[in-house]
Amino acid sequence: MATAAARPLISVYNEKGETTTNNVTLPAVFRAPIRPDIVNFIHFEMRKNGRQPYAVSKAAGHQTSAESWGTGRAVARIPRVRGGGTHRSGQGAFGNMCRGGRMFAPTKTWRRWHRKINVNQRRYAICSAIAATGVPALVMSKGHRIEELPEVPLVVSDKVEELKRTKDAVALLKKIRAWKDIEKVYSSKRFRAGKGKMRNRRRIQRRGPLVIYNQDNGISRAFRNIPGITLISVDRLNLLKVAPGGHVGRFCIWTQSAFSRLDKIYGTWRKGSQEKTGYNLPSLKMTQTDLTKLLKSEEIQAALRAPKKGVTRRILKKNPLKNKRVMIRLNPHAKAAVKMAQAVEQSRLRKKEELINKKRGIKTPLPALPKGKASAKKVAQRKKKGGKAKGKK
Amino acid sequence: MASADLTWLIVRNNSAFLLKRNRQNLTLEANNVKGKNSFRYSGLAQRQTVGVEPCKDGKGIVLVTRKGKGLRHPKNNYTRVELKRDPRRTFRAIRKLTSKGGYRKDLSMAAVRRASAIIKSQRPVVPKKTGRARKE
Amino acid sequence: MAIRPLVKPNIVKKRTKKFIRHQSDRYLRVKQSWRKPKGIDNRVRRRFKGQYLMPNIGYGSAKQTRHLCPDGFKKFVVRNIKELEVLLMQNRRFSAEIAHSVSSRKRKSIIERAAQLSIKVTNPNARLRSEEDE
Repeated sequence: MATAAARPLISVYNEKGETTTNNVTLPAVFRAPIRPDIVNFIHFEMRKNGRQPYAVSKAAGHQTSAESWGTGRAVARIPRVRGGGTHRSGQGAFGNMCRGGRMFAPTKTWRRWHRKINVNQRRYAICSAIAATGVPALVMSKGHRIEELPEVPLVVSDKVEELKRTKDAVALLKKIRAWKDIEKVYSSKRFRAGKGKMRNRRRIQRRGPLVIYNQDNGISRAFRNIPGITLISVDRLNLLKVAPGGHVGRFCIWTQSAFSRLDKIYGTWRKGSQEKTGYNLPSLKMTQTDLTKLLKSEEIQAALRAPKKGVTRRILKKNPLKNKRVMIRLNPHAKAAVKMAQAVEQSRLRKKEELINKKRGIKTPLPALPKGKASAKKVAQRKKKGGKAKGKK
Repeated sequence: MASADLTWLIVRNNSAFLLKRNRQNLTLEANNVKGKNSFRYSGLAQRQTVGVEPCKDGKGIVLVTRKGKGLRHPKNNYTRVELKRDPRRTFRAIRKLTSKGGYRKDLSMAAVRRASAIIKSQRPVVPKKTGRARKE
Repeated sequence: MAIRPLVKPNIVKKRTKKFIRHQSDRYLRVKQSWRKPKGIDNRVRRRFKGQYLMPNIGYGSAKQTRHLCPDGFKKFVVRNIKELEVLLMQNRRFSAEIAHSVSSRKRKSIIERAAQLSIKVTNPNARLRSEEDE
């Protein structure tokens, strides 16, 4: 596995918040694929397993001897309460649309409250959730205040497991700069919105850090009264605690022995789990998720064609029969041909005019044909004027 | 470590900072120069980010940049530079720091704009001049 | 000076009248708010001539001007100062609207901050009246 290759060393902080010479390699679980969809689904299913059955009374709405009146009375055929002497008699009963009737589809205690969850899926989800706790961006996106934290994942020495006093625990959290997250919990204390207030769920607050230990030598007593903190043993990592709300990235503080046990519990890709029979970490669908790196990789670059550079302009097609210039470009003789045709036309016209003049007996000869361009224009103008004058007459 | 792209896909629609209003997604996260919920401006997902914040004493700005490496160490990952001189030099410094060595050149203009907006907001507010006398 | 939007496109509404519910003119119990007729013989549903028009997506505003207020801003509901500060870079595109549940004391601080950031607030005078009266 490519991913198991380079696992960074994580430094361990002692109970005073200083780095120790001890280093732990990052357990392989932290390289597991982060799949929020699986985490969310499993969380959703797990949440269902804590439910208690409820139902309306089986008899509710059916405690009358109502009977339908049948047709012919110009009222609905809904069962009606029998007898007289009270307002109730004659009123509709039983139906879900009736006052005093039973509800629609009365709830039953034998609803499928709990869910079976595939073990492999469950493990996938917890692996994903653990992996996400090692990504600072995801932890931050969950709202944890970790910007002053020295390291993520945060590992503390085993001496912390022996802490007995909350005072010491608080001091530790302050030293490792995790106290800001607790402060956020303090400031988030508020009353629950809605009816839960009257159902013994009056106050709510944020979730703070999750402290994960290997052996409880007092650690749980030391930490448990700090608001927001959840304590959990590595043996019993619970998705509901590691990814509350089904959203990955809870802020976790590990003790060293808990941290180094992760490889035994979940295994590495090279070696299966030692504590779960026949379990291997889920393999990655994509070993490289960095898109820019992917696109720039040799394999992909080799398969791509070279980028099309330069602008190709489209040419508008023009009709040579209508556009002189295009025609000349196609047929250089066209210009001369047109000129010749015009000359022939003109001489014919002239001959015709002469003939008419002869027939009419007009003696004055026609003006001589112009030779240059300028004189041709003049002739044309004169002709126009003459034409206009004629029109006026 | 999850790549920036993967992180973005996870964070995109599910973050404590996200503000969804009227089909507009804005975000409260730090180091997002525009407050927009997009990959480019994301202060969470991107390896290198640029943040512009007002100074705590109410004068000048702080430029926060993020090292591309050592993301596991949040404390040492960010460098904060206080820029307290006149706006022109502040902008120059921002432009230089953001585009130097190919560091988020795309955010340089936005960072300058944000700095400008912050500096403007630090000036005392001039009382409004109303065009018309109020009817009383 | 009032804060103006960066661009103020011409907002064209394809229809400014309301779509009213069929037969709401006939019965008081049938309110005006639009309900799509579902009946098998309904003439509005069958789009007969001279009947009420039914709303459809074609009446939607252009993408550019959708959700745009007449002043050219888009509204953004704000509950506290922190949410207001998101609009710092968008102050020529978005205007802030203080959520209805915010108290007058906090409103005041929000409005003050908005003035510093030159963000337009659509409802700056809400919940202020009682104070002026005194």
